[in-house]
Amino acid sequence: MPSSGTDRRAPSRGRAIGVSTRRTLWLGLLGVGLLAVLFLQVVRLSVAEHATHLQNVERFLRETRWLPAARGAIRDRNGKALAEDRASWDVLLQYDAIDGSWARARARRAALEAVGRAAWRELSPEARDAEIDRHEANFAQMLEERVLAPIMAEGAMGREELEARLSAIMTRVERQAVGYRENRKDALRRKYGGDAPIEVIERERAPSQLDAHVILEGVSPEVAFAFQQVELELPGTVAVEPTTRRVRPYDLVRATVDRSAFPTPARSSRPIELELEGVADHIVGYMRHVYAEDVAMRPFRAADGSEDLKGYREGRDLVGSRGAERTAEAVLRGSRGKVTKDLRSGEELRIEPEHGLDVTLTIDIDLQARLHALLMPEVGLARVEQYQIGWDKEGRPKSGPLPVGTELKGAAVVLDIATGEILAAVSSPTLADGRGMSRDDRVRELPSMFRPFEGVYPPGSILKPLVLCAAAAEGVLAPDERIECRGHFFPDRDDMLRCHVFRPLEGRTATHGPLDGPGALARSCNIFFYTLADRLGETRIVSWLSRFGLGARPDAGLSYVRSERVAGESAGDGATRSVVVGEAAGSVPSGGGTGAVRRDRVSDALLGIGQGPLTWTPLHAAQAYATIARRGKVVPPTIFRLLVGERPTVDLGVPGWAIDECFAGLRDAVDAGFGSGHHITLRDGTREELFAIPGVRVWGKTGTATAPPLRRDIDGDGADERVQTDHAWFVGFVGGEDGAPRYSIAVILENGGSGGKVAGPIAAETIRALAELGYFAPNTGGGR
Amino acid sequence: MPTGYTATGLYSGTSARTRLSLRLATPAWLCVGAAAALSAIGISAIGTTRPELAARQGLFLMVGVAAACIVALVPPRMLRTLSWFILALSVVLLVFVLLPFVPKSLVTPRNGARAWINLGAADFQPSELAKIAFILCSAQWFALQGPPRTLAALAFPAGLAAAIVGLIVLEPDLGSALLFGPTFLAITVVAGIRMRFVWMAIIAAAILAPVAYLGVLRPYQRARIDAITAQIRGDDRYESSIGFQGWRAMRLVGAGGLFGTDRDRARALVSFNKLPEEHNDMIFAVIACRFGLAGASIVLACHGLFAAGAVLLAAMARDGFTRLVAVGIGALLFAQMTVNIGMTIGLLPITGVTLPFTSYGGSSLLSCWILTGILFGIGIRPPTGGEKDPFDA
Repeated sequence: MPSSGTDRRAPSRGRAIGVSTRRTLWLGLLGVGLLAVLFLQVVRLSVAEHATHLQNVERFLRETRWLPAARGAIRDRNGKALAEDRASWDVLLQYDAIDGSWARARARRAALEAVGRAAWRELSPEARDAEIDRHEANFAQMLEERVLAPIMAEGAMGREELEARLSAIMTRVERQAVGYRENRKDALRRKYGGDAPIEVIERERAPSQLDAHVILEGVSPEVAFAFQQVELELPGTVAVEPTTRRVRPYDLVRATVDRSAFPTPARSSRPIELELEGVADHIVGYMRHVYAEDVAMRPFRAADGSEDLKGYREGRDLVGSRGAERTAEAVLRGSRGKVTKDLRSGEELRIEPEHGLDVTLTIDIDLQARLHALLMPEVGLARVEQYQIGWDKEGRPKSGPLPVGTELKGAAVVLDIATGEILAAVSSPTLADGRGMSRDDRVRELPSMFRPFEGVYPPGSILKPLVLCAAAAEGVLAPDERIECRGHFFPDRDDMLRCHVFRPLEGRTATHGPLDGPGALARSCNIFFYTLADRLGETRIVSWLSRFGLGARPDAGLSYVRSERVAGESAGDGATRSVVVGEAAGSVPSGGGTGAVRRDRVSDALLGIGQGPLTWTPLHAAQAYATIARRGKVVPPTIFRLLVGERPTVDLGVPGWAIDECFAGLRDAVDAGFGSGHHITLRDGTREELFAIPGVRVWGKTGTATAPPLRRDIDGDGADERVQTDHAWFVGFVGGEDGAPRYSIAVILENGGSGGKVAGPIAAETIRALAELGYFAPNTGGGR
Repeated sequence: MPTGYTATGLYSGTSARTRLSLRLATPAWLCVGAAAALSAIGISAIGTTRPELAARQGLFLMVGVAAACIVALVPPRMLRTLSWFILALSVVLLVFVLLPFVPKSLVTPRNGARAWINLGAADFQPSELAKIAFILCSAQWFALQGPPRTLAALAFPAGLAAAIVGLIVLEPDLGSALLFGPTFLAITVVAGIRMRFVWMAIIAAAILAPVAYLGVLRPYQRARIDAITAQIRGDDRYESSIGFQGWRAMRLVGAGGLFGTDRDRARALVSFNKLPEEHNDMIFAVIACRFGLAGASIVLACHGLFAAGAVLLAAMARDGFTRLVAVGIGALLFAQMTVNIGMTIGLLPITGVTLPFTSYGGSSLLSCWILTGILFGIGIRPPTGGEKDPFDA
């Protein structure tokens, strides 16, 4: 640096920086601070939260579409399809084409092109609407001619029907949209509390408002192709989708019933033509949309975002509702496929769907249909008839608790003794019958209850063979032992625990005298079985009944767990509990002889004739008799055909002589003139055998079990009366002429009265059906 | 004449060759270098998603650099003279765009705002000229009047700022209007305002902010503030609605990671995530997605260098006008950068402010380069004025 001597001045290095300069530098430091804040935020996003943000943005690079899996078929034991998916095409209308949005949007586009973008920006909203209005009619006309008219033509529907359908779609969609928005608002409120942005939800379109809706179902490929052309010409109006439809071929069956072998009062040489609705519908079941509990059980998308291709999506998927569709859901369902398309490269990654597997039921649909027809009141057997009530000595008709012609509800089960396979299980009324009922009727008739598996009834006299087996096994009954029937159990009390032949108030004081086991069974002597029950005591009776299956669910394949709301003030809002439905356990007395209350001899004795706190289902009954037919070996019943493995068996250890006595007694009950199930007596006093069926041998037991009182308006005065009735049972087994029992049968008619006269004819027709279908041919052990 | 230090500082008595080398060794090169780097990054980022616009941006850059060179040749004393003319012109143009009878061919509404004049080849935004004019006029005012020790001394420049801001708000262009606040604040602070006035203004703004939120802001503007406050808390309730743009931008910034991704993938991510204004207001998200934290850091560093250059120019200046011009330009562009990047990374609401030198747009790029040219013109010239710090009492 140049310098002079005395004029040189020292540089102003030591002078303080001015205020303005200082402030300038401070502003610079402030800028550094702001830069640091920005930098740190970028670091947080790019480093600490990089994975999260990358995953979030990458999902938009992929488009995923799901490939449906075909559901497996449900077949009967002979391979006939009872429920199956069939390929089809559906024609759908986009919701925008239904509510007018499509025409409006196309008109807007046309108006914009006509006016020009620059001019369009300058138009006021009112002016824009006016321009759109001018074009809208053209597009509405286009929609009418090229979309709606073909739909009406292909669907063979008139204008009114189309309008009604479209109106129904709009009503449903708008209702769903309201529900969707409310759910969204609730979700936001739960998540964010009082300041949730619920106003934003009002502007959202619900998924159903963005969807296409089926307007024509199951069209042919030619029609589908035609509408695909329309879809190309007018995008956004229609869509054509391949679909599968769950078809149940036996939902409606035409049948002819031969009444030539019916009891004479119901007999006709002219067969009756019937339309059977819902054959085996309880067993096969139905599909429904998934509920939240289904999703919770197996969600499609887990909390961590992973996908389960077999999982359920609420609002989208179907699930088995009941029956085999429900219990075999895991096998039938299959697994959806997935196509993930990279939107950049167009490459697709496919996971093919795994179609569901077929399941085979043990039932024979033809036999099922026959029994279904037999239980229809219009056939003539499942209703109150005079021959069931009888006539007095003067030939005047007696009156029963229910008027003649009253339709009876009931059930029937046929079980293969060797395998435990259920060949038929019919419930009347059916699910299909229920669809035509009023709400009150459904409450009274309970069509949704599958009576063979879920109907619980007092067994009545049909329990007696089990009591005999129990007594023999416990050593309280000796072989060939005879017990005297004096008409009443307690020597000094003729007003209680009486035999059914001893009715002093009616002037009947007959007794059976000394009877052995077979004789007691054949005559259904109450005294014999009061005695056995008294000897056994409740504890041992219950123990043996439990071994025969009472009080436990048979687990034949139709039971499943369902959530149901818990009622009552003690339960909180939305409280639910899990219950097992589909099969009932029945009930047996509990805690007999223990605790503060000791059951008395009367209660014990009543157990011997199947009365008291005892209930079982028709399946229990068929299964118990099958156990007797197997000489005391239990084989669990099943409605699904097992492909591999033997059925497990348990030997109850019933003495062989007791089984023999049961066989003899049950044979005499239907074959001997004194048997309770041998005949009906006609008006003129002639006897007509019930089981005179060539080529078969029948063993059976009738039961007339006291039913809970009915409330029914009998006299037509508009007020219900309390009516005491009996359930009519017939349970037994049947074999070919070779003598070995093959099939057990249980029939019950609710409130029907006499087991032999009401349930007996239906059991007989069931046996005829088995015979006609070839079930007694020499080499058809285990069914056809 | 004896050489050495005099009252005017270093430059007195040096040789002509020494004076020439000192002119070229100026912090303004930091500004020019940063501006060039940011412009180049901007063209590259625009080309990621909109290649057709990248070429146009290159043309705008050439025009901007040329304009900067021309402006740099204008001596500061001539700028002082021209400042009021530029102000008058910008006010006239701001009023012009608001006049309802102006033909649509001249002033075309865009996104609901009347803010552009159609010049045929490009659109011109009067608010950009107003920013330049405001900085020059404010600097000129305080240079003449001295440090504003009283509120009365602030009346004229504050009124001027309010008038200009008011006209811009009427367009409406709230984002541009907001930038006048920090710019005016920086100028008055360096000009010597009493700090108590600054604290009073900050407190008043804090008190009036809720009033403005409830009574002044339009519903969509309030919604944007709601969205950003939720976003800052990590609350994603608005992500699929009014907060969509902010969340998408922020997520794309995060998705870039450390070093970004290739061009095709970046383009796909931006495109399929439907980021609005990806070439314009949201360009920083594209840069961060494409080049990662590295690229984002370079952008931040360049803006820091530009601001550093302006600060150093201001600190070295010996006359009030050039100091305040340097401070004003630095503050304006830094504030604009902060608002733009802040809204992209989820710290500030969406306001429609571009990223200086980087976002697509002829007006914005031209205006930024003109400001750079002014800084360069200040920097290459020897400082004038006394030994004392300007604005010191």
